[in-house]
Amino acid sequence: MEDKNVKDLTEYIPYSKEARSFMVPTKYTVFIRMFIPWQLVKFIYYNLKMLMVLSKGHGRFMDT
Amino acid sequence: MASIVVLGTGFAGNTAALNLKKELGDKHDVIVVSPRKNFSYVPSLVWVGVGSMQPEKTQFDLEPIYKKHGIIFKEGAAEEIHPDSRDQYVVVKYSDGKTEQIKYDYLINATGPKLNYVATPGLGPDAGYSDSICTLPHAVKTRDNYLKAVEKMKQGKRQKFVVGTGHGMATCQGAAFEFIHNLEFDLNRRGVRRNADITWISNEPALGDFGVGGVVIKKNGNLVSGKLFAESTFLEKGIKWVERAHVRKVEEGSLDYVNIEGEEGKLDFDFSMLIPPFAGIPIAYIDKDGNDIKSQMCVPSGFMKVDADYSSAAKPFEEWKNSDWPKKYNNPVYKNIFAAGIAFAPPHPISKPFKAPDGTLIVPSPPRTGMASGIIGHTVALSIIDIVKKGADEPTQQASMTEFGAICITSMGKSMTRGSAALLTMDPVVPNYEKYKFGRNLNYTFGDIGLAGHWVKYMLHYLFMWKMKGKFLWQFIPD
Ligand SMILES: Cc1cc2nc3c(=O)[nH]c(=O)nc-3n(C[C@H](O)[C@H](O)[C@H](O)COP(=O)(O)OP(=O)(O)OC[C@H]3O[C@@H](n4cnc5c(N)ncnc54)[C@H](O)[C@@H]3O)c2cc1C
Repeated sequence: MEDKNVKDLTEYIPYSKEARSFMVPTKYTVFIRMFIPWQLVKFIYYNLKMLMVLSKGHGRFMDT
Repeated sequence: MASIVVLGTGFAGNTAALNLKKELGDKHDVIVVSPRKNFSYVPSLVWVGVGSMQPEKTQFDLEPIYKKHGIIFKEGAAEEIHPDSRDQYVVVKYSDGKTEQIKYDYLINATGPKLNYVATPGLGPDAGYSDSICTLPHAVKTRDNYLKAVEKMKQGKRQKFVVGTGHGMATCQGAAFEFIHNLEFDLNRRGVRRNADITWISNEPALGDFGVGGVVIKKNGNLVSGKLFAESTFLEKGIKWVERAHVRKVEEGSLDYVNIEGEEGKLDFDFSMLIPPFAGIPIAYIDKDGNDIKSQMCVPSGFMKVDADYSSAAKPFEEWKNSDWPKKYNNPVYKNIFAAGIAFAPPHPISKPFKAPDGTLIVPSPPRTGMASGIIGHTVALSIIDIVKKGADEPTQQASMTEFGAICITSMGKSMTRGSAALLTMDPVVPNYEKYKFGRNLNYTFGDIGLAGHWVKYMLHYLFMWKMKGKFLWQFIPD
């Protein structure tokens, strides 16, 4: 018998704990996540985003 | 001439040693002590564990690199630190049983974690029944057990997989999350996914917490909780999950847990990969009279005390402040001893702690990721450089986890055309609810999933191996 604390959405039961709030990618989302031309654009975007976080710097010099 | 001793060659120790030597040159000694002369690129062990990366690709020998950079390397384990004597020294034990006293003017403890499997009966690959991917030998053993399960599935047998954390106070949920997705991806690739039941178990208050209190990100014009994203990856792939759970014991083929509501449960498995809780590396601290002063130097879990406010641990979650977190990472009593990476003791968790009715604490311990470890190792090195070169009388640099951000790339399958990863940037690591409504700067906190994430993860593997090898222009690669 399945443990009652195990969560999944194999079966959609309206108002069940799992069905109350959830998000599942649509076919389009799954496709676009793997669509190479779009992912090339994303690759550039991700690198820019990472540079933004890094450019904030991490260490700070303190006057002693 | 100053002598700086670095214990450990992980992200924290190696970053510190390379930066110290670059700035201090031949006038000062940088001595690195570690029981292993190999650098291990731990983030890629998730791939080794499912057989999608050769173990050798995650390792390299540090000895020739240190020789080239003029760093003295001692292949042994630090056993004692004598911080009080006139000549402050570390006792190092070599594999042949011999010991040596190594004097220091400044000491960096970057010894990482002791994998504390014994905290949960039956946990771990050495004396227990679960696998782990925290070290290369363990990841290789995990791969072998995983491939045995795959063989059974090829013969039509159904197999149960359980992946997650093996204790209520474990950390590194991100690594387990990567592993479960890589496992699911690999089972598909091998054509046996239909014969697998995959279940996640973790001590997180909710999926997507990752020990950093979860994230809120901007998505399609909405602010969305990272919990929904983490759950959506499981729902998409048919992975079931148990959250808010402390694993009480692991036996051959099953584990018992209790959750924060006090509900007990049991999961059966044919294969399990469970991350253990971490403790500090057992090193003795001895004063000039020969007394053991470990309790003054370390918190009970064995991590070294630094400039954090440890009294805050006794306060309720709502009263925790950003100022509890350390900035300079030196010990309050012996100010020339620093701790970097996993070796420093955080003041308290980042996530909200919960207790099961029997009092069992269920809360992820704060992650000190590779990036944070590198940043802290670098910061500590810069402080020591200023003290040695400019005569500063206290550490000049600060890097608080409440101020710096992190980039986390969570692999979800290794393939250049069909793989994917979740890219998550957050700023800062420890949420600051005084400054930001949702704890973080939403311009720098970002999450997305896709093939390009895998390309970034793959690129970072080679970029950081290059940096850690101290190769041409290594210093320009960010921590
Ligand atoms: C499977 C897995 C995947 C991960 N993925 C990521 C990721 O994708 N991104 C990320 O940022 N982080 C990731 N992490 C976390 C990251 O690996 C750690 O944060 C990082 O390795 C910590 O660095 P460290 O230098 O503090 O410790 P470690 O890397 O553990 O290094 C400790 C060093 O100390 C040495 N040592 C031990 N005992 C002694 C002693 N007595 N004397 C001297 N030396 C000693 C060890 O040999 C080692 O060289 C992952 C962790 C795991 C387990």
